[in-house]
Amino acid sequence: MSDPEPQSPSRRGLRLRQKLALILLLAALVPVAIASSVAVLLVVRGLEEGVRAQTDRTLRVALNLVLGHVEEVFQSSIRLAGSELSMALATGRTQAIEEVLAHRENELPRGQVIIADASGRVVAERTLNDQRTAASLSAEELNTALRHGLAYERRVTFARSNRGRGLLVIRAVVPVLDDGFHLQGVVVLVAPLDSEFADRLKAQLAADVVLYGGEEPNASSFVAADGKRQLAIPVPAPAFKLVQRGPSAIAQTTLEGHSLSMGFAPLASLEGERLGMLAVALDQESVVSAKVRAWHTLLVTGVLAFFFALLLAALISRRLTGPLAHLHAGAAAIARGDLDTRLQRETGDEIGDLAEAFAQMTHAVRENQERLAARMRELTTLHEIGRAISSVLGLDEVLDKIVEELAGVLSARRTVLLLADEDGAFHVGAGVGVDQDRAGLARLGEALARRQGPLVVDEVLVEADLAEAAAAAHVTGSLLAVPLEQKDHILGLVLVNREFAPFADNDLGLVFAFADHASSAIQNARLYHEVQKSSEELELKVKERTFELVIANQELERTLRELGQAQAQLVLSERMAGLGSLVAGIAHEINSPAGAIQGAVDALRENVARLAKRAREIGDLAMAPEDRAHFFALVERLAPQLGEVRIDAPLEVRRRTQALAEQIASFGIHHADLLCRTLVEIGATEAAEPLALLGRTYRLEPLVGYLEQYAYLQRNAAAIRTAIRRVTRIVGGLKSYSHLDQAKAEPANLHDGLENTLVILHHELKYGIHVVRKYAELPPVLIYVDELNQVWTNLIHNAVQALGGRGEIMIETRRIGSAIEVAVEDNGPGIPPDVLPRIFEPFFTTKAKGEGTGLGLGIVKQIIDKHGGHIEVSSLPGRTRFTVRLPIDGPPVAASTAVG
Amino acid sequence: MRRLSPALFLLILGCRPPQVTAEMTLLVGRPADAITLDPARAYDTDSAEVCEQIYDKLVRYKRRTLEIEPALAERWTVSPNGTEWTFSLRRGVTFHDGSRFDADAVLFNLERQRDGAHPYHEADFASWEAAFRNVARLEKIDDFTVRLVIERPYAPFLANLAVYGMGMVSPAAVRRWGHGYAQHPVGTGPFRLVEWSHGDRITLERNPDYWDGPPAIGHLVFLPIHGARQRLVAIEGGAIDVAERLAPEDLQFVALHPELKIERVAGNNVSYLAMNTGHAPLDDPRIREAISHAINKMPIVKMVYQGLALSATGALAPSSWAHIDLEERAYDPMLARRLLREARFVPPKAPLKLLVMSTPRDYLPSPEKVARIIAHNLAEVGVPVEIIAHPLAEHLRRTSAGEHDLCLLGWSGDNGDPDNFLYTLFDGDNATPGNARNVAFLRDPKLHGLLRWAQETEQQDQRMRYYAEAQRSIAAQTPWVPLAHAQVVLTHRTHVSDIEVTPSSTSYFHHAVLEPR
Repeated sequence: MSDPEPQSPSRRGLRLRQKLALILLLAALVPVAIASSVAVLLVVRGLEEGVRAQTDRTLRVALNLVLGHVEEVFQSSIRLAGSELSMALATGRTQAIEEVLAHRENELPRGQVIIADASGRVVAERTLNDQRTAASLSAEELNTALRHGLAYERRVTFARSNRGRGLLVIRAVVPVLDDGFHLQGVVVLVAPLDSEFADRLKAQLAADVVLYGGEEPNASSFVAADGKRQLAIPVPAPAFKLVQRGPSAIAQTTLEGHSLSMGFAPLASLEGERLGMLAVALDQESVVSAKVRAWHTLLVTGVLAFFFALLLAALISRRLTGPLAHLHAGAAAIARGDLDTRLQRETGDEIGDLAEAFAQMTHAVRENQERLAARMRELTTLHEIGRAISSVLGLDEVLDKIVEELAGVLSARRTVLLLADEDGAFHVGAGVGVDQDRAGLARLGEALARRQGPLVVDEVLVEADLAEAAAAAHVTGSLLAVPLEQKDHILGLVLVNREFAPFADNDLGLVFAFADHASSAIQNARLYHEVQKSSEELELKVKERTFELVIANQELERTLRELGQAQAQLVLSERMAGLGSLVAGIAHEINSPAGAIQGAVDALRENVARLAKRAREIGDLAMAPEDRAHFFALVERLAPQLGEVRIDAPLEVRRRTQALAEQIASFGIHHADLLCRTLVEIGATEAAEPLALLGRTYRLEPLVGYLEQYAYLQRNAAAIRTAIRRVTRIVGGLKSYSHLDQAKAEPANLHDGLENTLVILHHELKYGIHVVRKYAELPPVLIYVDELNQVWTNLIHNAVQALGGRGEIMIETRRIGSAIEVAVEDNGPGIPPDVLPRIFEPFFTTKAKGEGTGLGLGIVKQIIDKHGGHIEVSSLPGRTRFTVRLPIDGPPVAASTAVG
Repeated sequence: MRRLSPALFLLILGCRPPQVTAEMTLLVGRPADAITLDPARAYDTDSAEVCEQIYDKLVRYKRRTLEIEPALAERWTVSPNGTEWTFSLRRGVTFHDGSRFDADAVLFNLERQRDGAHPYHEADFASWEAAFRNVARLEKIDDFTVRLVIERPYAPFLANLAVYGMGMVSPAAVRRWGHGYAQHPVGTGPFRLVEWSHGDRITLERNPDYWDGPPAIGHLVFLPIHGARQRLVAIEGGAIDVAERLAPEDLQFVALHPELKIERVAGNNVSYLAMNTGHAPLDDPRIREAISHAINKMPIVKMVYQGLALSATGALAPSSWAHIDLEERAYDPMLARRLLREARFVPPKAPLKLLVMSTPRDYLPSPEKVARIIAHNLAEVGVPVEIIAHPLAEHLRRTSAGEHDLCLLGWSGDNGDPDNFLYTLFDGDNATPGNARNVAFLRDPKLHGLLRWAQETEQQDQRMRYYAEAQRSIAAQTPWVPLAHAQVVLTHRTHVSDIEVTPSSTSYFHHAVLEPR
């Protein structure tokens, strides 16, 4: 992949480059500019200083030269005034003097010499050494000079000549003494400071010299282009002022375009009178041109430096920011998601390191992406498998799906799912690329199973224990085998084979996942199968029960028929008119249980049907075997008490339901209140927790429904039993009533009898009649159970009838000494007072014919008398109470049982 | 950029033109080095000059005059009988070594000179004997009051206290250095010694705590440059700022040089040819008189001094208030010869020794030239003379010992008092060989009396009369041929100013100012 050349450099890269370039430029130029400006300034100033210093030096030297000349002149005068002249003067002969002068002339400077004698008279005068311009003194000056000399004074001074334009001269006066220090005469020497002198100075100074008498330049070394002496050198005004004030001055001036640096020193007489000036002039041209050159150089080099720096800055910044720009572009590409971007990493600096780091990151990201994609694919496959499994119930379809997906994901040539039989033999459950090798694969599977664990090999034929089976099954190359296990018994084996590519670790993991799914599917299928079987067995049992019940029912019908016959016989016997009623009453009495039986049998039919349905539903739940076993065990355990019924007031039911719901609240069962209510109604509250536990895993409705139906079944069966017993008793009672039975008195629980009676009359009591029981602790009482049951039946039945289907019946039992008292109270309209005394008469009834025998209370009284007890009645509107008292020890022996 | 600009600003501020600081150094070129810096022992001008910078006296001369003003003594009183001088000393003055100037210091200074038994007495204390012989006792009244009791009233007493020899030295320093104190001077003056490199230079530095205001210059260096020419070259070239005692002929050029300036002060001095009256034949006044006529002074005065002197007729310069006009001995060789014949002068076998200093002096610029002229003159009249030249110290020693027949000397007056000349140079008290200032060794009781009375009398007119008489008496005896009274000349560069040139030919540099060049 080639480097992506940035199409248009990003804005940032350019700015950075520009910044860098600018900074470099400034960093290079600013100090350079400052330094070079300062340097040039210093150089220029140095040059100027140098010129000043040089001028000053030259001036000093010039001054010294001038004063040296003064001394020279003086010394010459002194020498001249030596013994030779002294002697010549002593002779008084002019010629002698002239000779001396001639002799000494070449020792004397240019100028003029005047010799006077001891009286001051001038005796000789001579212009010396080709002195061209006359440098003579005024007479006054001469006299002054001679006066000094005659006073033995030696003097030398500057003076101004009276010729020319006041040319400066040196004037020396020396007295001439003999050996005895006697005065012989005076020597006066005048030396001009003229242009020739200026030339001499120039030769020694290498600078031009100008001598000013007063303000007029009257001697100079300047020579014009035409060779003529240049005298008109104007004094720069500031210099003149300075010189007037101080000892010297330096000033600049120009002469014919030449720049000059001039130094001025004043010259004064001994008396201090300012006579003129000595000036030196140095050509400044070279300095000026040097200065100009310096500035030019500065400018040129400055411009060059600028461009050079600019170029360098541009190059350097480009070089530095280039890799950075590349890096930036690459990073942007990666950020966009183009992970294949390659970053340039050639520079050896931090940018290279950065690029390297980026590349590594990209690589890592890319790898992760790929891994992620692979994982996603696997997850998707697993999900689909899961879905397939959950959507396809058939085991075969599930297994087929598994092997298909596995083959696809792993690109396997052959994918096989082997299932194990109970005896450990394998067979192909599903397979891709299996063809004709089913048997061989099965064998291979068995071989693999013996390994007892998963297997990944790159070449199966290498494995000693598998090679034969593999070859037989035409399996070569990479092999991956994962056993399907459930609680360490093998369900089967997954086998994946491909030719050329070895399996990776995550392939194994994938297959494990698939294998788990397969195991689950297989297991579930088996469970389902089992549940179905259980359900079928249950149906069978129910059918058996039903059949038994039907038989029982048939027998009952037969009995009924017999009864009917008895009834008919009774009717035929007709002892009394009341007997017909009695029989009718008895028949009526018997109707109740019969009806109960009938009802129970009907209900039973429905029960059984519902029960079977519930059983099927339970089968559909595909419960785990142990759970299923638990449930049915529970059912079996609860069965007895499910048959026993308690009639509870709705309020009581509600209370109990709430209590139960709280009990199992922690289980978080849906419709828990419904469940609890049901359990409470069927009296299976202790099933609440187990069911709730199951309810976490499975739908409870089938289970609870099953239990309910089972309860009802039991109840109905119990009801049938009870009803049959009732009938039996009624018949027994009838028998005893008509001396058919000489039953014995036996100790019994009165409450049982009461409850039995309530059961029998349940269907009468169910709607609108609320039964309140106030039972005390009673010992067993010696009674004729059946007969008393008649009593209770009668009393309760009467109460029910009196209430007209709506009201409250209270049954109260208590012990009084050696007797038991049982009271049946109702809140009906009451018995009218005129009827009350006659209520116990046999056959006395207020009912219409056929409705009631009227026999009831009479029989009741007879039975009570038989027991040695007592019955009484009290009645007010809203409160009718029948109280029966029975001795605990039973009836007296001699009591007659004859019913009159 | 913001941080740069203050830095730049400071940089620019720092580049200022050089200021004039007090660290200017004044270089003074002199013919000779100082001999001693113990003022009591100094007798030559070079030593005296340096001492005048280092020390203060109790009183001093007003600037450029010979009037007395307070210095270390703020005020003084004289008892009616004129013998008790009570001085109140200035407070808060410290010596250069930090010790306090007080009455104890004053007494130490006076006692060591007066009392021969003083532990720090030196045999060659030059000025005491002459000036303070009559001090009876010294009293300390309190820490800052001393009383000097003199035996008899002594008019020049106060003037003598202003002489360089009465410069107050630090007793602590004297105690510390003992005999070597002369090399380690410690005073209260405007300058203090930094270093004395013998023969090379004496370096003084300003005393910033000087009670009369510190000097303007930072350092003062005295350079002995033998040879007037060298001194001239040095000052012309700028190597020195002040040149003392240039040759008079060189002064011509100096005068013409725009950068040099000549300070001229009428000198309170005299140069003379002294004749040792103790040595024959000079013990004969007629011979001495003859000699006085044999010498042609005109060329000496004019040529040697180059117009910077007056012909002397006596010891006192015309500037002295006791000066009288004495008769100028005319140059008359014939008269000289006649006088010699009358005195029966016989030229001795050995020529007369004419001792002369080789070092030019203020009062005598070209001593050897003068000696030559004199010798020539005397030879003309038949008096043979041998010139013996010595450096100054040696010359002074020999002459004070009386080894000469003739000697050339001079005297710069230290105080403006005629006593300083006449008593010192002519009184018999000062004619002790070895310690003599009276190198003519004149011993005249009458003169002595006159001089003593003049000392004791404080009335000026009375003193004048005495001194007039004394001068006439001296002139009559011709112990000398007075030569000239020289002007004191100081050459300096034009950028130096305010050097106080005194008639006694020492200069005060206290107020000297150096302008930047």
